[in-house]
Amino acid sequence: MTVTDLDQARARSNFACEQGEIWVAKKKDHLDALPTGTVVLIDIVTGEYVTGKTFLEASPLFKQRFGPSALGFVHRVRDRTFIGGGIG
Amino acid sequence: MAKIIGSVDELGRPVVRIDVPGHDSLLAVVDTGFNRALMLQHDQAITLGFAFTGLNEYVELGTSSISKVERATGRIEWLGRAIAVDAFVSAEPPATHRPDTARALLGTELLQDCLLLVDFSSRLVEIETQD
Repeated sequence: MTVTDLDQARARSNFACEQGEIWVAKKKDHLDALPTGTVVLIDIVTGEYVTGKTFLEASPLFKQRFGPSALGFVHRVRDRTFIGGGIG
Repeated sequence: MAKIIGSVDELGRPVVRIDVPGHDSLLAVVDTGFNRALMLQHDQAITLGFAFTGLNEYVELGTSSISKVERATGRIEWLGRAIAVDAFVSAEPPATHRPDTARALLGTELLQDCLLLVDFSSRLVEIETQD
Protein backbone atom coordinates (compact mmCIF):
# COMPACT_ATOMS: atom_id res chain seq x y z
CA MET A 1 0.00 0.00 0.00
CA THR A 2 1.31 3.43 -0.91
CA VAL A 3 1.16 6.20 1.65
CA THR A 4 0.12 9.32 -0.21
CA ASP A 5 0.43 12.99 0.71
CA LEU A 6 -3.27 12.95 1.50
CA ASP A 7 -2.84 9.97 3.86
CA GLN A 8 -0.05 11.83 5.63
CA ALA A 9 -2.11 15.03 5.83
CA ARG A 10 -5.06 13.14 7.32
CA ALA A 11 -2.83 11.37 9.84
CA ARG A 12 -1.22 14.67 10.82
CA SER A 13 -4.59 16.33 11.19
CA ASN A 14 -6.02 13.44 13.26
CA PHE A 15 -3.03 13.47 15.57
CA ALA A 16 -3.02 17.25 16.01
CA CYS A 17 -6.75 17.37 16.74
CA GLU A 18 -6.57 14.50 19.24
CA GLN A 19 -3.64 16.06 21.08
CA GLY A 20 -5.22 19.50 20.87
CA GLU A 21 -8.41 18.27 22.49
CA ILE A 22 -6.40 16.89 25.41
CA TRP A 23 -4.76 20.29 25.95
CA VAL A 24 -8.11 22.09 25.68
CA ALA A 25 -9.50 19.84 28.42
CA LYS A 26 -6.45 20.43 30.63
CA LYS A 27 -6.58 24.21 30.18
CA LYS A 28 -10.35 24.53 30.14
CA ASP A 29 -10.58 27.09 32.96
CA HIS A 30 -8.01 29.41 31.35
CA LEU A 31 -9.53 29.10 27.89
CA ASP A 32 -13.10 29.60 29.09
CA ALA A 33 -12.05 32.89 30.66
CA LEU A 34 -11.09 34.32 27.25
CA PRO A 35 -13.54 36.50 25.30
CA THR A 36 -16.05 34.70 23.10
CA GLY A 37 -14.74 34.15 19.59
CA THR A 38 -11.07 34.28 20.59
CA VAL A 39 -8.96 32.10 18.30
CA VAL A 40 -6.53 30.00 20.35
CA LEU A 41 -3.65 28.28 18.55
CA ILE A 42 -2.18 25.53 20.70
CA ASP A 43 1.23 23.94 20.21
CA ILE A 44 0.39 20.27 20.62
CA VAL A 45 3.81 19.34 22.05
CA THR A 46 3.93 21.81 24.95
CA GLY A 47 0.31 22.92 25.30
CA GLU A 48 1.43 26.56 25.14
CA TYR A 49 -0.73 28.80 23.03
CA VAL A 50 -1.13 32.16 21.34
CA THR A 51 -4.42 33.99 20.83
CA GLY A 52 -5.95 36.47 18.42
CA LYS A 53 -9.26 37.92 17.36
CA THR A 54 -8.89 36.15 14.02
CA PHE A 55 -6.93 33.22 12.62
CA LEU A 56 -4.98 35.59 10.34
CA GLU A 57 -3.97 37.66 13.37
CA ALA A 58 -2.90 34.70 15.49
CA SER A 59 -1.21 32.38 12.97
CA PRO A 60 1.95 34.52 12.45
CA LEU A 61 2.35 34.66 16.25
CA PHE A 62 2.11 30.86 16.39
CA LYS A 63 4.80 30.46 13.73
CA GLN A 64 7.03 33.06 15.40
CA ARG A 65 6.76 31.46 18.84
CA PHE A 66 6.82 27.76 18.02
CA GLY A 67 8.68 27.64 14.72
CA PRO A 68 7.65 27.02 11.11
CA SER A 69 7.31 23.25 11.46
CA ALA A 70 5.27 23.23 14.69
CA LEU A 71 2.04 21.25 14.64
CA GLY A 72 -0.92 22.99 16.23
CA PHE A 73 -4.60 22.88 17.02
CA VAL A 74 -7.16 25.64 16.57
CA HIS A 75 -9.61 26.17 19.44
CA ARG A 76 -12.33 28.82 19.27
CA VAL A 77 -13.79 30.09 22.51
CA ARG A 78 -17.56 29.40 22.48
CA ASP A 79 -17.53 29.39 18.69
CA ARG A 80 -17.67 26.67 16.04
CA THR A 81 -16.99 26.33 12.35
CA PHE A 82 -19.81 25.06 10.16
CA ILE A 83 -19.35 23.86 6.61
CA GLY A 84 -22.83 23.49 5.24
CA GLY A 85 -21.80 22.03 1.93
CA GLY A 86 -19.80 19.18 3.38
CA ILE A 87 -16.40 17.94 2.32
CA GLY A 88 -15.32 15.66 -0.50
CA MET B 1 -18.79 49.81 -5.59
CA ALA B 2 -17.08 46.54 -6.50
CA LYS B 3 -19.05 43.61 -7.87
CA ILE B 4 -18.41 39.96 -8.73
CA ILE B 5 -20.67 38.24 -11.22
CA GLY B 6 -21.14 34.50 -11.10
CA SER B 7 -23.69 31.97 -12.20
CA VAL B 8 -25.81 29.05 -11.08
CA ASP B 9 -24.07 25.97 -12.46
CA GLU B 10 -25.56 22.89 -14.08
CA LEU B 11 -25.88 21.27 -10.64
CA GLY B 12 -27.94 24.20 -9.33
CA ARG B 13 -25.14 25.70 -7.20
CA PRO B 14 -24.25 29.39 -7.06
CA VAL B 15 -20.62 29.65 -8.18
CA VAL B 16 -18.17 32.50 -8.61
CA ARG B 17 -14.67 32.66 -10.04
CA ILE B 18 -11.99 33.96 -7.68
CA ASP B 19 -8.66 35.27 -8.98
CA VAL B 20 -5.50 34.26 -7.15
CA PRO B 21 -2.54 36.61 -7.79
CA GLY B 22 0.21 34.79 -9.69
CA HIS B 23 -1.83 31.59 -10.07
CA ASP B 24 -4.82 30.16 -11.87
CA SER B 25 -8.22 31.33 -10.73
CA LEU B 26 -10.54 29.01 -8.84
CA LEU B 27 -14.23 28.30 -9.09
CA ALA B 28 -15.99 28.34 -5.72
CA VAL B 29 -19.49 27.43 -4.60
CA VAL B 30 -21.11 30.16 -2.50
CA ASP B 31 -21.99 28.23 0.66
CA THR B 32 -24.08 30.30 3.07
CA GLY B 33 -23.92 27.42 5.55
CA PHE B 34 -20.13 27.89 5.84
CA ASN B 35 -19.29 30.55 8.43
CA ARG B 36 -15.62 31.11 7.52
CA ALA B 37 -13.86 32.35 4.38
CA LEU B 38 -12.62 29.63 2.05
CA MET B 39 -12.51 25.85 1.85
CA LEU B 40 -10.05 24.22 -0.56
CA GLN B 41 -9.06 20.72 -1.56
CA HIS B 42 -5.51 19.74 -0.58
CA ASP B 43 -4.09 19.67 -4.11
CA GLN B 44 -5.88 22.91 -4.93
CA ALA B 45 -4.30 24.70 -1.96
CA ILE B 46 -0.85 23.61 -3.12
CA THR B 47 -1.48 24.60 -6.74
CA LEU B 48 -2.76 28.03 -5.68
CA GLY B 49 0.34 28.72 -3.59
CA PHE B 50 -1.35 28.64 -0.20
CA ALA B 51 1.04 28.14 2.73
CA PHE B 52 0.16 25.35 5.16
CA THR B 53 0.36 26.59 8.75
CA GLY B 54 0.70 23.28 10.59
CA LEU B 55 -2.57 24.13 12.35
CA ASN B 56 -5.56 21.83 12.36
CA GLU B 57 -9.18 22.26 13.36
CA TYR B 58 -12.48 20.47 13.83
CA VAL B 59 -15.36 21.54 11.61
CA GLU B 60 -19.03 20.59 11.73
CA LEU B 61 -20.54 19.45 8.46
CA GLY B 62 -24.09 19.84 7.24
CA THR B 63 -24.75 16.27 8.35
CA SER B 64 -23.77 17.23 11.93
CA SER B 65 -20.74 14.97 11.65
CA ILE B 66 -17.36 16.34 12.71
CA SER B 67 -14.36 16.41 10.38
CA LYS B 68 -10.74 17.47 10.76
CA VAL B 69 -9.10 19.91 8.39
CA GLU B 70 -5.77 21.64 7.95
CA ARG B 71 -5.39 25.41 7.84
CA ALA B 72 -3.49 27.38 5.21
CA THR B 73 -3.12 31.03 4.30
CA GLY B 74 -2.84 32.76 0.94
CA ARG B 75 -3.94 35.72 -1.10
CA ILE B 76 -6.91 36.21 -3.39
CA GLU B 77 -8.39 39.04 -5.42
CA TRP B 78 -11.69 39.85 -3.77
CA LEU B 79 -14.04 42.63 -4.84
CA GLY B 80 -11.25 44.61 -6.46
CA ARG B 81 -8.65 44.17 -3.73
CA ALA B 82 -5.86 41.67 -3.08
CA ILE B 83 -6.48 40.34 0.42
CA ALA B 84 -4.90 37.81 2.76
CA VAL B 85 -7.24 34.95 3.46
CA ASP B 86 -7.15 31.82 5.59
CA ALA B 87 -8.46 28.60 4.15
CA PHE B 88 -9.71 25.32 5.52
CA VAL B 89 -8.06 22.51 3.60
CA SER B 90 -9.62 19.08 3.19
CA ALA B 91 -7.34 16.09 2.86
CA GLU B 92 -10.16 13.92 1.51
CA PRO B 93 -9.46 12.52 -1.97
CA PRO B 94 -11.07 14.56 -4.77
CA ALA B 95 -14.34 13.16 -6.07
CA THR B 96 -13.42 11.36 -9.28
CA HIS B 97 -17.01 11.18 -10.53
CA ARG B 98 -17.16 14.96 -10.99
CA PRO B 99 -13.60 16.21 -11.32
CA ASP B 100 -14.40 19.25 -13.43
CA THR B 101 -16.88 20.98 -11.12
CA ALA B 102 -16.28 23.70 -8.51
CA ARG B 103 -14.46 22.12 -5.59
CA ALA B 104 -13.85 25.14 -3.38
CA LEU B 105 -16.37 26.68 -1.01
CA LEU B 106 -16.76 30.39 -0.35
CA GLY B 107 -18.18 31.17 3.07
CA THR B 108 -20.01 34.02 4.76
CA GLU B 109 -16.86 35.58 6.22
CA LEU B 110 -16.04 36.85 2.72
CA LEU B 111 -19.59 38.14 2.35
CA GLN B 112 -19.50 40.52 5.31
CA ASP B 113 -20.62 44.00 4.22
CA CYS B 114 -21.81 42.57 0.90
CA LEU B 115 -25.08 42.02 -0.83
CA LEU B 116 -25.40 38.48 -2.21
CA LEU B 117 -27.97 38.04 -4.93
CA VAL B 118 -28.76 34.61 -6.36
CA ASP B 119 -31.32 34.65 -9.13
CA PHE B 120 -31.98 30.99 -9.79
CA SER B 121 -34.48 31.76 -12.54
CA SER B 122 -31.90 33.55 -14.69
CA ARG B 123 -28.92 31.60 -13.25
CA LEU B 124 -27.21 34.80 -12.15
CA VAL B 125 -25.12 35.42 -9.02
CA GLU B 126 -23.97 38.86 -7.88
CA ILE B 127 -21.80 39.80 -4.90
CA GLU B 128 -21.54 43.51 -4.33
CA THR B 129 -19.89 45.66 -1.66
CA GLN B 130 -22.24 47.80 0.39
CA ASP B 131 -19.76 50.42 1.68
